[in-house]
Amino acid sequence: MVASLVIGLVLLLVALSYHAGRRAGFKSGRQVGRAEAPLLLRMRYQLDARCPICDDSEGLAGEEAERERCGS
Amino acid sequence: MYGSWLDLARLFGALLLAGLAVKWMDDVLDVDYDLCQGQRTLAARFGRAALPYAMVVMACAVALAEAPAIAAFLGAYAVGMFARPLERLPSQLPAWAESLIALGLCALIVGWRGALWATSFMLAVDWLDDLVDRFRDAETGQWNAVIRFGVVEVLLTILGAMAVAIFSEVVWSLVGLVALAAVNVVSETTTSKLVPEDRGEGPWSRLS
Repeated sequence: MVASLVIGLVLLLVALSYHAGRRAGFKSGRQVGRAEAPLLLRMRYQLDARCPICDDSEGLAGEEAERERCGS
Repeated sequence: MYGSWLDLARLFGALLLAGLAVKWMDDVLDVDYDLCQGQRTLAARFGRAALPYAMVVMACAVALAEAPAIAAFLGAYAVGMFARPLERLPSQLPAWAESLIALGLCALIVGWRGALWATSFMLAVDWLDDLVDRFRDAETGQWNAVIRFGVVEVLLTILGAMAVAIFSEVVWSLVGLVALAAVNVVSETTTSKLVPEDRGEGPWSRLS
């Protein structure tokens, strides 16, 4: 019968550890996401020549869009 | 202790009636959520009269077998407060304090083994119910252990709690599982659906 208690306590500990690991994983994933998101957005902006968030190049005239692309 | 068939029948009856009383009182507290989910439970039909009926059922449970009925009731009471431990209750005490008082009372009346069984078995039953209801609770916003902690954590905890329950009272645990199935059957047959049930899994189908 004591074996049953030990198994129960071990399972509860495993559940706690799993939950702690999952929370740590979410935290580190959020940090990586925050670091990568600006780089990915910048890459899409450079490759497509338009803002990937607001898609603003559509409303600009050719020269204006070119200036916008060059960042001046 | 429960060597004869009659004792087993009394134990089953006590756990079944105590389970029905607890379920009924829980339905009274959750009547708005259940109506929101399109379910008209017995509590919604009985209205305010549900409470005295539940007390009569609980008295019959205690008459059949005192210790398991009281342990089941106080265990469900203590575990039910786990959702919001810091919430101030009408008694002006925080929920965690009421949980501790309920468990202390249970240990005084039925002994530490009974209190341990009550906590672990009722935790397993409560979270098993959460596991089944996770999609519906996600839609209505009701507190659910699976949404809060995750499926794997809840499954491991249910298994661990069942192992602890078996350690503390083997016969109560086995008969309690049969009584749990019977309580669910009674609950399902007395609940009418207001809208056709959607069998889709909804937005939480990938919940893990």
